[in-house]
Amino acid sequence: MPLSSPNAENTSERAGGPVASPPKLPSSGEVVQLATDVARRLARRWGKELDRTSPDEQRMLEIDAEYERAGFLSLLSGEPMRLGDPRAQLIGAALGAMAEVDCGLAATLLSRMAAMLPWSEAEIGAALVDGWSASRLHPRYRDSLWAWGWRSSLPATVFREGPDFHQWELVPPEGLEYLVVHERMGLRACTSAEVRLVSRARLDTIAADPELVQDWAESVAGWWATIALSAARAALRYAADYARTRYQGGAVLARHALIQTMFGRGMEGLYAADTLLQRGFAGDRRTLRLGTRLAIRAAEQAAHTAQQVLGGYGYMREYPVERWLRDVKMAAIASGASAITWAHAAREEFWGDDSSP
Amino acid sequence: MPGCPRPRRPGGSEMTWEALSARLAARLFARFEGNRGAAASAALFPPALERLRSTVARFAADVEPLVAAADRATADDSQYAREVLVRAAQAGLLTRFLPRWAGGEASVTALQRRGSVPILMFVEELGAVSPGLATLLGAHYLGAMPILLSFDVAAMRRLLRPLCERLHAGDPAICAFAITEPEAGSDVEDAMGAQQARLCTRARRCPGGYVLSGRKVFISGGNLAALTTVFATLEPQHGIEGWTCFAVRMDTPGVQVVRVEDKMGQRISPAAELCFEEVFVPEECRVGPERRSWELNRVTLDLSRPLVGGLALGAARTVIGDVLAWAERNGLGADRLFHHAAARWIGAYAAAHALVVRACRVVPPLPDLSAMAKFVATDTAMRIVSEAMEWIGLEATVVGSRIERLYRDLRLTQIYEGTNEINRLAVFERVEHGQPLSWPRFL
Repeated sequence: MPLSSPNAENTSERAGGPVASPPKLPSSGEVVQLATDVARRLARRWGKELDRTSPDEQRMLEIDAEYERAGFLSLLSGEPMRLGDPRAQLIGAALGAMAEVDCGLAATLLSRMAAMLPWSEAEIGAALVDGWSASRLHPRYRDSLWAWGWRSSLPATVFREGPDFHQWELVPPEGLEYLVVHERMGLRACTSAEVRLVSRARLDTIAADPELVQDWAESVAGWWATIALSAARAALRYAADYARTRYQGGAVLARHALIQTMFGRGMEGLYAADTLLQRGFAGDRRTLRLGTRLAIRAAEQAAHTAQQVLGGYGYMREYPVERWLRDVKMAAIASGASAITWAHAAREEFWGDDSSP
Repeated sequence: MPGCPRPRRPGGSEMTWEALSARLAARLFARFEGNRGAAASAALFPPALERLRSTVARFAADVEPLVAAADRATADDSQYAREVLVRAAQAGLLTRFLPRWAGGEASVTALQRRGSVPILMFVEELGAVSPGLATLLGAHYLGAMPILLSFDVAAMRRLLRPLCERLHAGDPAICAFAITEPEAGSDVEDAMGAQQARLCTRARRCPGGYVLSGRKVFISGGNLAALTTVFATLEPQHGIEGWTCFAVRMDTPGVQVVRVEDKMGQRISPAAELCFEEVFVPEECRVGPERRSWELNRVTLDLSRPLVGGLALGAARTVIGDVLAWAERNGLGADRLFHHAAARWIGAYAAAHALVVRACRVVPPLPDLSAMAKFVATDTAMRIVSEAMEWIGLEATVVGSRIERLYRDLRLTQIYEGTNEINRLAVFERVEHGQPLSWPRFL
């Protein structure tokens, strides 16, 4: 059953009576269940093709249609989402549940959501041109931009910032020329392309409130981290099942203290990062930032552990673990969290914004 | 300076004290005067090794397009690997480290003098282009290693000379090393595990030789090899005591390549599953004495583990070079935060490299030192590539970019030749046998 749109309920309540109540959101359990069902359905349909083949736009659009039917995209309608908004947590829950089935599918949803963030109308389809992470990290403009979840028939969101402006621009499909669709190491169900802006035509432009820019940038990064965490959790679980049956030195792996310790270390990072992310999404930007950074490291560590436990089998494509590692690495890089994340967090905590190098 | 003899040049001619001190000062302060070349000209290795290094580096650069093509090809398409092997055979790289009396070019005195340092250079240069390439060529020497380490000159002549003749003619008749089994991976790399493990590949005596039956998995180059050294057990109930090694010609009836694995990386180097069904192996193809092959296996691993570290460091060197070039292109060439990160990589690389070279120089190799060199070097390399990718960002994740391939390739170095966890246990294997650790004397 699709999720109900908060906006739609709002409208009907307004029409029905004078008392306007806040939109009713689905419960987190409902969202997780629905996301799992949708992801399973899509994964059954394409199977390993989601990892093997080059990105395929037709497939992206079919996946989009499925998301729209399920009502995920309508979660963004209504007021612009600030940090602490329960919708951010719900989206995180949906992405996490999907990533446990297929990280690429979760990335597809994330790219669509991130692109739609500035535009409150859920009907606007958009691909995110990555002005977020990469160019915020090293603020410079190059000829080409990286478009996550590139869908050539839909408008695209471009974030631009300069010394005295931050803005989102909605670029019509014909305003972008695509240079190349990349095949990446992971998250292959989601297309990505290098594109170039070829016209000044814009469907819409919003001057952005810097606070909101921060909120959204951190939310998007946090969502990527959520995907990485889920993938790592799935990898650990898979490895734990393997460890139950595989013998080494005359005992099953699961009985070796070293193996138990390795899993424990993996869990430690995942639990800590998960807690930080949840606190962060509840409205604490700094915690979200640190949680994102911790999450990608913990996820890499845990996926690495899972692969070590499987040994040679973990390196073979026949087993899912190597794919989880590639997906985790990809999500980690997509999150844009790096050593600079630490610098940001420290500036905020101790010295204020004017200490920017 | 009355009464003080005049200093002499290395050649023997005399010079004044003033001239000597001026020379020393020039060398000490050269780097402050932009005269960097003069200070950094000291070659690390003797000329013969430097020549080897440049030959291998040239070869590796030549075949890099084949490596990249194999990375995109299907797993069972071994044409690129075969092409690389043909070129390597033509360049003499597949006989370079086989002894002269077996038809190769290596002298045993060189081995005594330099340990496996020349082979380290070889795999390092190959690894700098692709760890998979180093595995492909290195697995050939790994396959020949039990035969060499049996120190049975007649067996070397009998088994390796025909291969060397074919290799000289440009026919890639390589060796492979078959020990891992579907149910025994770490068990065959670790003494404690091996005591408990039951090898499923069995050998039984028959008139004139042995009959082999069983399965081996993840055999590097197994589908391309002409000769495979196979470890089997004569008495499965006796654990490692029954282990015996056989050199099996791959055209013997009953030997089958079941499949070639679809791997995450190192795709130029095929890993095959082999099945042996009632394969007759003549007496003269037994390698070393009966029931003594656990030792053979361990010494082979002691030799090969630091080399795995070396090939990983080769790749790490390329990664560092690439990320420095990327930083230069993207305006981070003078960024101090980046310098800090890069200095950590270079420092870790240098430390790991020193350890690997040390492990390769010791003859005979020390098990704990070899294992340490392997896990330190491969963990270091993996950390470097992983962090470097974070700096480069999305560009580094595109399939077809070198760093992305190296990331996938390097991951295997932490798994094969014993996972790094097993290698950590190997450091204390001597202690389990009541012998002292060779640490810290070897340093």
